[in-house]
Amino acid sequence: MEGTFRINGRHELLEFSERATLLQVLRDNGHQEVKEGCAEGQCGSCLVLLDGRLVNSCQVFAAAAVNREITTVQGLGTIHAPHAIQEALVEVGAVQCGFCTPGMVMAAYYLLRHHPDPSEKEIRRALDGNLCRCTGYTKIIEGIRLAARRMRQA
Amino acid sequence: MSILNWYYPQTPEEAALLVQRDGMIPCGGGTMLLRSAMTRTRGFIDLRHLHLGYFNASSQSTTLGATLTYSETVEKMASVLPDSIIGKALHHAASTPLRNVITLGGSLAAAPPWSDLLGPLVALEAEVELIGQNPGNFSVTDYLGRSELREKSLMVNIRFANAQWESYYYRGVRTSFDLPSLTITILAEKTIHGQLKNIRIVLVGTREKYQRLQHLEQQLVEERPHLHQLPEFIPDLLSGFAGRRLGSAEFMARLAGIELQRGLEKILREV
Repeated sequence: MEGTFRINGRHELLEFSERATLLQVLRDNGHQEVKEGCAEGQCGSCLVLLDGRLVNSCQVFAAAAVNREITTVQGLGTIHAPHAIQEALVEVGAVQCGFCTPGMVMAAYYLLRHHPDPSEKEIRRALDGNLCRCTGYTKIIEGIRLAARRMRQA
Repeated sequence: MSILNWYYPQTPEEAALLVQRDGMIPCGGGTMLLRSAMTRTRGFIDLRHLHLGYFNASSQSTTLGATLTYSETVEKMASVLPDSIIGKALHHAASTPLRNVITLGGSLAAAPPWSDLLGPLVALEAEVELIGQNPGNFSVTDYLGRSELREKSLMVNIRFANAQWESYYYRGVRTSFDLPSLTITILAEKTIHGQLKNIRIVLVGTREKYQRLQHLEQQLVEERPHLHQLPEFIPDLLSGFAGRRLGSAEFMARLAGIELQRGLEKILREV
């Protein structure tokens, strides 16, 4: 089957299997910034925004995402124009292997859009769907607090 | 693998006709469907255009549209019914991104043993409205117990009566983001003099998926025990449990007994 998706502001007409997940369709069509981790909705590596809501793209059928707005981490910032969250995570040393980072950035973005000045408890809760096997989370939380401060001042 | 078609009905009436065909499965969030084998599934019915994501609360009752997600339910409950057991239970369910996808209808239709929705709905004596082969309103317990009701039917909404409940909710988990192996829901209603008038107690994660402790409910209302007498009233729960990843049947029963007593102490102290 085929369907149109609005990915990072661009309409894309894509072919996919009826049973495919949104994650598979994104990755098969060049959006490899969306990582495949557990593929069970537990690790958060594949987080995207679907119509503005944070979702695990591995837990959404692609057919159910047709004609909807999808934002991946590339829609937030690039290597040449990084988002404040990406800059802050790099600055505080919150990135080690980097595999979980796109998902962390998406979860942080979703949080800060709704809570510009989150407490540590709120940050921890916002990351309840993200696993990082390297950092121990402390630096990630520090990075999100830094980004929040900068985004409020901007 | 067989060919699977997707259908995008625009009205509940259209969806009701589709769901009566062989092998058709309604898809709200789809998280449970992704986990299933789908060998007999011929088509999915995408529910997003049916406008079933509504929330209506009056002084008498609350109606929750079947495609409301857990997140939407928590948000709406927080603004209208902040003490609701539904909001309390779903607030901790799954993770933030999964709460944005899991729908009430899908969750109740699948009713997995780790459901955070099941206990509160059984305790609230909620009803579901179905369309399709078995149209009408049915109690949640009937819906769960009678497979013929679920066959070729589509859930439209969930409704329950509003009352001044004191509530307690316990999740038996290994870590805060784990799926619960056991949940305990307690609702209590008091008289204007502060005496216990009505109480409902539901365990989820038992052998029979859920267990309502009606005998204990009756004893608590009729005998009104003091807090120090509560241990004598807690039933032996061993026969109700099988081993789960949280622990053996013996462990689960002991845990349920202890947490049930704690919950009752909290509720009865408040009452």
